[in-house]
Amino acid sequence: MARYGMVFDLRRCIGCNACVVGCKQENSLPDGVFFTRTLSEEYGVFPAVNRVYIPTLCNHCEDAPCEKVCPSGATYTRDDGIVMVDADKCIGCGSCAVACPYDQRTELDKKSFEQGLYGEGELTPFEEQGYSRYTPGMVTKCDFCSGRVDAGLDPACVVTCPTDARIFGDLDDPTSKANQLIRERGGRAPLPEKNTRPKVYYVD
Amino acid sequence: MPIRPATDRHFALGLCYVMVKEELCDYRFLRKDTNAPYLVGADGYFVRNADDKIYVWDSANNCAKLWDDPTIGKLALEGTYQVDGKECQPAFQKFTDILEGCSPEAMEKITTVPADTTRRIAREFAAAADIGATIEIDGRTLPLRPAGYNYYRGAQGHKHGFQTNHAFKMVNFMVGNIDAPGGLMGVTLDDQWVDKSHVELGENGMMKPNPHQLGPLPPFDYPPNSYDLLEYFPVGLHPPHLNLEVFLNPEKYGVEYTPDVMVICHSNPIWALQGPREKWFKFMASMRFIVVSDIIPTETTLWADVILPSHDALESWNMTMIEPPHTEGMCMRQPATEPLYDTRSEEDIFSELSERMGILDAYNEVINIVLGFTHKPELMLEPGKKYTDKEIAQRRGLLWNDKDIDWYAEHGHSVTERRADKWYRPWEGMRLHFYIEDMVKERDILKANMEAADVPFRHDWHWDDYQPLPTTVLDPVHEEPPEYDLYSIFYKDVQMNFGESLSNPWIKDIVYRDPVHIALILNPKTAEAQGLAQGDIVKVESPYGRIYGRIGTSEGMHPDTLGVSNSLSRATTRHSGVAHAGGHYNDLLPYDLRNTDAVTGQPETVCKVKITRLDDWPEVLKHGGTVYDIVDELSQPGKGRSH
Repeated sequence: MARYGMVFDLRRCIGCNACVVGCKQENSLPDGVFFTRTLSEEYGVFPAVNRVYIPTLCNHCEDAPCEKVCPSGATYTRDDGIVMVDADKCIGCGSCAVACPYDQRTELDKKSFEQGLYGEGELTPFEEQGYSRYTPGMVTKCDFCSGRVDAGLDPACVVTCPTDARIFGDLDDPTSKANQLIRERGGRAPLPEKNTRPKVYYVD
Repeated sequence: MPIRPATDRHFALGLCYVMVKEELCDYRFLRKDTNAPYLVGADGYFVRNADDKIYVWDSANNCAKLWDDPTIGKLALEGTYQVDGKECQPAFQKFTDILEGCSPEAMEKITTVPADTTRRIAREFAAAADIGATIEIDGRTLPLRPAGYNYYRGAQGHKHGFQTNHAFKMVNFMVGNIDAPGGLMGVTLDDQWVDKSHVELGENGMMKPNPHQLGPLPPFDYPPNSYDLLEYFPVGLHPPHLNLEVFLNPEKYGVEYTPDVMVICHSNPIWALQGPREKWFKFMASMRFIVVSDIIPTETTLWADVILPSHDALESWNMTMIEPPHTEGMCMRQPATEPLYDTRSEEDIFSELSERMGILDAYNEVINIVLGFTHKPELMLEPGKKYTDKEIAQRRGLLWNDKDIDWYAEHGHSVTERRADKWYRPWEGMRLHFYIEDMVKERDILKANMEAADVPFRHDWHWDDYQPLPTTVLDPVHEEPPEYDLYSIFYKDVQMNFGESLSNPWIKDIVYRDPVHIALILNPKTAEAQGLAQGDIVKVESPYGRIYGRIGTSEGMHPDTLGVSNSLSRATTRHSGVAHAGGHYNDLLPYDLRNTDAVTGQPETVCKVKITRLDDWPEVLKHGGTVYDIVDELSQPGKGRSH
């Protein structure tokens, strides 16, 4: 069984946020909800100044704190390592949002489904078809586009990235590009001191 | 490299200075592939014989010869000579004379780029260009020049835009990288058919200039036929900002008519044009009837008497060649969904309008010319018939490669790598215009026409703008009154190539969380010197208009400069997803002749401003719904908040 994960190549990320738009589109996310983000920070002093871009998403931790605290069993890990949220079981308590050290959990506010993307209280046909997968009030996150993965496709953010800065694959397969990048360029996991064993790595 | 706005030309000339002084040039290219050796007289024209053939100087035989004389030993690039009793110099010498005033030290005073940096870049650039190296591609031996000076509108969009563009090109001329593998490649907008060539031989061995991409320049006329004075600008497309200048000063420009009907297709001029909105509003209000076709409500559709809503991109057919850097071919777009609302394709709208106006035959004729169907007569639209978006797309595909629309539906596109003979030096055997004599010619033709027609504003016309070589003349933005103590620039970003994309909620959700897009940006030291702090509400005034906003800081901003993001440019519309900010950067820009390039009609895109701190927002921005209100709401902490 595969153990899916993702590698971010920071040398390649140009901060265009195409991944974020691709994700919002694939997952029909309401306004203000992100399953992936591109953080950015300026560094240096004029005239030697630059900007760094750091993509983030759910790290699909091996020891997922969100799963441990979930009282209803809504959060669970698939055999292939993808950490999932069951919309029917989630009671919206928000424990997972508090437990996640990466701030990757989002409550799907009932209001945002009613207001729609244009804030007019009217849903577009696109939203109508997309919102049915969520329960208003649930606290959810990225699932590596599990439906796409089951169909043999890469997650939407990966195929949208114009610079190939996001590499998805089986971390246990030594021939996968993700595995190779982690080994060859010293992949680093975010906040290792939290002992969550993320399946997302950064190389620079 | 940080640079003071509107001084890129001076930096480029500094690079040329170093490359010429240190002999880091591709002299073979300059002699063989350009008109740099052609002799120029004191009047700025090439020196010609009675048959209009141009002279060069043969330094091997120390005499003048005609440019195509097979006995030429060595073409002189430098020196001063006498030919037919006229003193003259090779065009290259003319340029080096200009460069005498362009030392990196002299240019540093204008650009703020340290002289050492300019020298270093010039040497690195020439070294990387690897002058003399060659590569074989498809059986042709080509120069290999892996270095290029590329540029876009921010660098060249100034009063002296033509000279600025020319100066950048000169950096590339110095190393002979024009259309060479690795160098600066020419780009065509649309080839239309696979064998179409954009290159023609002109006079005296030089490539024929093609100054108007979209068709021939309208003939000279006075009173002017074009309300934007297009017929007086020998290079370029349209100077739309001059519509306002002419509207406000009709007597000065002698116009004999006042436009009173506007037909606008999927563009947003009331948002996009420079000059204060209040004045543009007067222009729009003077119209008897405005028709707008668009897919979304905009600042311009607000003014429409009739809106003709058109299909969205995902509801319609289209076939086009995407502006090709190194590819060519047609890309097809086909409907992903049936139209959601009661809309029509733009093709339907305009052919029906033409039919109702009784001009359908002429409309079809124009489409035949513009889309190149005249090249294959069997594809030409017939008089009296209306064609759908699908039928037009089908014809464009057939014109490119004889493939029908079913083939495109299966393959999606016919894009391939650009054919090497069209891509690399398609002008082989012709000479490129190092020295643009046409500037001198066009100036004198226009002058003579204006004199003959007794055009009153000819005395205000900027005749010095027509320069065959780039000079160090300052753009007038540098000479505004001293109270305007900062430059102001406008920037867009990868998420919003056009501000219109902010009406897309996904993009808005990203952009309004980015610190450089939600404030007027100053360098922190400049903010301190101005007594301003992050978050201060300010009024920004140029000599032409004003905007309001909130101060932010970034070390990435040049200390002389206030940066204004495109994300702060929108105004309230009927589109509920669009938030207004404190005015549009374009409000700050001039729309007059003083700041318009007399060659191209290019308006100035940089301005000088002064900043005043305010205690509170002005009345118009106090009632919510602004970009700043959204930003404040997003920054509130809470469950499920942003990072």
